[in-house]
Amino acid sequence: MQGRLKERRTNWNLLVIPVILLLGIISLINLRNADFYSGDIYHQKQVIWYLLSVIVAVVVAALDLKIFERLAWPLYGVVLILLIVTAVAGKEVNNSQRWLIVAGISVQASELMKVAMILLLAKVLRDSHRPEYHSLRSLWKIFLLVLGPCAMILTQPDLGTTLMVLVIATTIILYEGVRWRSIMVLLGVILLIFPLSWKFGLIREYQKDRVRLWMNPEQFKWDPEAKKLLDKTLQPEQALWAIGAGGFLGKGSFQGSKTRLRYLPEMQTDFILATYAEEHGFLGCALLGVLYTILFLWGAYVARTARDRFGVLVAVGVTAYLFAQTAANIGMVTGALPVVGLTLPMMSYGGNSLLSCMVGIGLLMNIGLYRGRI
Amino acid sequence: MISGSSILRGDLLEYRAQNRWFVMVILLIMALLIGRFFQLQVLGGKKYEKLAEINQVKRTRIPPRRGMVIDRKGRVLARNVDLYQLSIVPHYVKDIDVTLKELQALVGLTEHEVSRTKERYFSYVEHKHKRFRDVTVRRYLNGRYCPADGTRLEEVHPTRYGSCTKCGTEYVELPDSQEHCPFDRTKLEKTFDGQKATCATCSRSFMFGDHCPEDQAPLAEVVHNLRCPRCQKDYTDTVAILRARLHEFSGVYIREQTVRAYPYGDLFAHMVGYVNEVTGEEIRRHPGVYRPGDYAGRRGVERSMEEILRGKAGEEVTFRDSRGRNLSVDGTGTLLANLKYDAAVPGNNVVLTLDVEVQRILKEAVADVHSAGIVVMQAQTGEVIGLFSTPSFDPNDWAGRLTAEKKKEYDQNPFYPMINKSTTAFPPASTFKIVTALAALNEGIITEETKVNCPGYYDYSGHRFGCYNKYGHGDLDLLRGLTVSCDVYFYRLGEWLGMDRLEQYSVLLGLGRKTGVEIGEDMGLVPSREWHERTSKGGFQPGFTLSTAVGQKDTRATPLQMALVLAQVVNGGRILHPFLVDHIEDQEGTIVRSLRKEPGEKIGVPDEYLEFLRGAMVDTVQEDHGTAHNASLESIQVGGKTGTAEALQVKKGVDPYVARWLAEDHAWFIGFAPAKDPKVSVAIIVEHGGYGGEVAAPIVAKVIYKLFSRNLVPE
Repeated sequence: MQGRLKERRTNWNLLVIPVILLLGIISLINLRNADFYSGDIYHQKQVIWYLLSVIVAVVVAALDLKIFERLAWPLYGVVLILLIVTAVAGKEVNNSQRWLIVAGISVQASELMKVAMILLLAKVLRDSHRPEYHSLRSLWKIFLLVLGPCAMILTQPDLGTTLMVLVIATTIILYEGVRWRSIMVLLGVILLIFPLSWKFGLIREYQKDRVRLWMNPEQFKWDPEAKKLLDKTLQPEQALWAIGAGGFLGKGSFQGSKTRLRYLPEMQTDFILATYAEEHGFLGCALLGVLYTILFLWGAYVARTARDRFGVLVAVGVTAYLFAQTAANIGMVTGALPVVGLTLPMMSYGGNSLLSCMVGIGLLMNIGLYRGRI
Repeated sequence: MISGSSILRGDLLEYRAQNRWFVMVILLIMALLIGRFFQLQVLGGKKYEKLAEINQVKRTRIPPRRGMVIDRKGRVLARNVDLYQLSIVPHYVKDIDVTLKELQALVGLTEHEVSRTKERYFSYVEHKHKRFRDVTVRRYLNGRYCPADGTRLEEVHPTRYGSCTKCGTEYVELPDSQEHCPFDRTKLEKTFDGQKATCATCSRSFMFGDHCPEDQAPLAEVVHNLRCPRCQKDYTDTVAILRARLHEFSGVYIREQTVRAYPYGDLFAHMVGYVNEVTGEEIRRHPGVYRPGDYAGRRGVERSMEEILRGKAGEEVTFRDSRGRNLSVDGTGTLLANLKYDAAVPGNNVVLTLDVEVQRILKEAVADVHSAGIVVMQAQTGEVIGLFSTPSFDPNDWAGRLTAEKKKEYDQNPFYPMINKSTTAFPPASTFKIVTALAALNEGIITEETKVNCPGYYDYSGHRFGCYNKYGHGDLDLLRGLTVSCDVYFYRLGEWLGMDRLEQYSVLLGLGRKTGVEIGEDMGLVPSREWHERTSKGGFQPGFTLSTAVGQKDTRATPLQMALVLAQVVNGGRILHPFLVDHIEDQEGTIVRSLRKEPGEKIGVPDEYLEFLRGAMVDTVQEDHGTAHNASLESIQVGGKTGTAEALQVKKGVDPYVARWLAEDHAWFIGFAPAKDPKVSVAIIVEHGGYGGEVAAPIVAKVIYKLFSRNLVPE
């Protein structure tokens, strides 16, 4: 007993903190460099966001996990209401109504929904835990809880976040355990839904264009309309060139091509990686990849060692969220996936996105440390 | 507490498998992503290292060369001509007076051109931006193509001309005694004072002194060694002369542009069509095909064969570094160029079944009427060998350079030159009677012997329907009914047949729908009982059947459709699919694809009825009492049917002569020849021309005579 207690005191989870700090520092430096090309001051704002979210993360890590369990339903409700308010009174940016201005701060309810969804699913699945695997019948309520907000986010329209919420939910549910037969049926339904929603307008024309562009970049070259639609051709291609231009070692800070990076749309947010890759080359990117991998593996480790079912599922959800969004963003910037508007966790400029990430990391830390405290 | 915890932990062991999967997926995907960076940054290094220097990427589109339109004998109806324009850029010109003087010596600028250039030069040269603008010195420089009609010039023995330095007119010097044109031996027409003469054939001007007879300005000598084989005018390749000396000038440029030229002018206007700039709508509708400033086909084959003619644009990407230098020229240039060079694919040529000589015959034949449409179709195959609409328009006017005056001229022409009358629907009038007759025979309602009495009118359900001969034709059989075109006979047939069967046979023969020919056309109209219920006030009235049976009232057919109906009746009932595009060939002239439309099934009417109708139509022309006797020829037996459609139109505010024209009826004639084995089917409408037999029939006779005497009818 004595030995056990001692083992619990040396908590390996704390070792991940330098990794997180390193990511944060890289993020801020990189944002400063990006501002150099574009002449903005985003990195200064982001410093404030970082301070704020670290405090929030520490608070989240320190609180009793039970509080989050109790908060799961109310939080979900509040975010859902926020989504509705956004749809009614939100601010439209780039043809998409995603933002809600509350007291001068823009709130992106869809971003918050990721965390709310994780907590809610963890709670609901914990409560309805069965000794045998779930079937479609036992899951239908959960489907409703997931698909409701998804539909709302999709109509903003924000395909990227919708997909993220779906991926998070799917991962949690699969982790909890679903019968193979049910998985197959579900897969069949999804395969059916995609062509149907493509055909019947659920997927917007610009979203289709992005997929088409991804599949056949040549086609859009001479379409003057395409130019208007955020220079679709240029965005991924210029990003690719920026990444490629980095080479093995990178060109160094402030040595990137100013003209190219300046005209790269969303260079501080979705395409922040382009600047980093051009300046720091393959070495920098590989380092970043390794740091992210450590972060995700830690998340999986927390899930494995968590003490109760709620903790397991929250850890899985947060890890899935961070991992899926990172992979999707890198895939998009490197041209391996179509362009869906998703930020790179920790790296991209944006308060809502950063806050969600840090709350997630706080939750992971909480679960990890909670195991040790008892 | 502790035991409880261990129970929990044991309970959570069930997640172990999932956790292993989770870790594996994370590792796999992260490895793939890092691999992707490796691929882009390390493996693609060479390529991207070079790209890293790139600051500017310039995409240059290589426009495709549009395919040509060619007639059945290989004559080019639509081609591309490189036009050259002589320009100066004021900022770079050192001394405008010297420059213009030297240019004048080289290409013979007129005083007007010189003064206009100077004026523009002085107004631009001080301006901040305008001094970099092009100032056109001469709009069209002569290259290897005739500026008038786009024909490639031929080299001939050099001819000396005197060019007036003031007005630019070119004269050939002649000794006083010469009375005939030295080029074509035509007798010259001398002016009153004997200073100047013109040749009516080649339109050259001649003068007998050493000063311009018009303004007495001194002449400069020019020597021309190129001649246009079509218009017989002489030219010099001034572009070549200028190019050889261009390096001596500063700020003088030859700008090239490709324009579409239609060497035969209005002869093929409606069939070939023209091109002009694409609209924003078109650019949107065909993503990736057009760019602003591109040309697309309008009307005719240029439009319907657009996809074949236009070709595919290529693209060249040039890379510039931060100093604007083109990176493609240095060592790695080839690598980059190879990455991003697509050659343009020229469009294919479209070969038509039409024939320039046939068109000339048609144009000549309708030269004396205000407005007419005429179609010549091969009666066995359905290929259209001639189609003309008068008045016509010159596609060269419309091909992207329509001036305001020209537009006004076209807009104000009361005879609508832009409308193709050959494919415009008119009431077919009595030409429709062959459809009625065929229906009645085939339905067994009458035999050839069935007699009807014509007192000059026909009373039906409270209405009196008149025959055009109000004294009556007396007792008639079907043959006589057709040859004299008695209305009463066909009112009778209409009554017996009923609306539905009339509709059925009209549709069978191809009326009321597009014939499918490759140019714009009206559908025409076959009124049906249902159509009347829908559109006529008071719904369908039985009396409509009678008017329909004689082709009046609501029935509408285009001359092309009537030529088709006639061809199908006289070729033994074989259904035809008219076409005027024969095949597509590539730039080398190899056939890519044939677009001929083969004749279809027979319409399922016994030969004896068709034979009878054919005979009746021959009688209509050959017999003295036939309505189309005016179309008879000695050399060849012609058959046909006339028609006169009531078409009185009253328009306010038009010239009296237009008003008089509008008061006349439309004259129709459909004819075929030779009578025994019909090869051609011709249909004509002379809009507001008068009686079909008097106006339309002779025109067709003239056309048929020339077609056969010049052996222009394909087998």
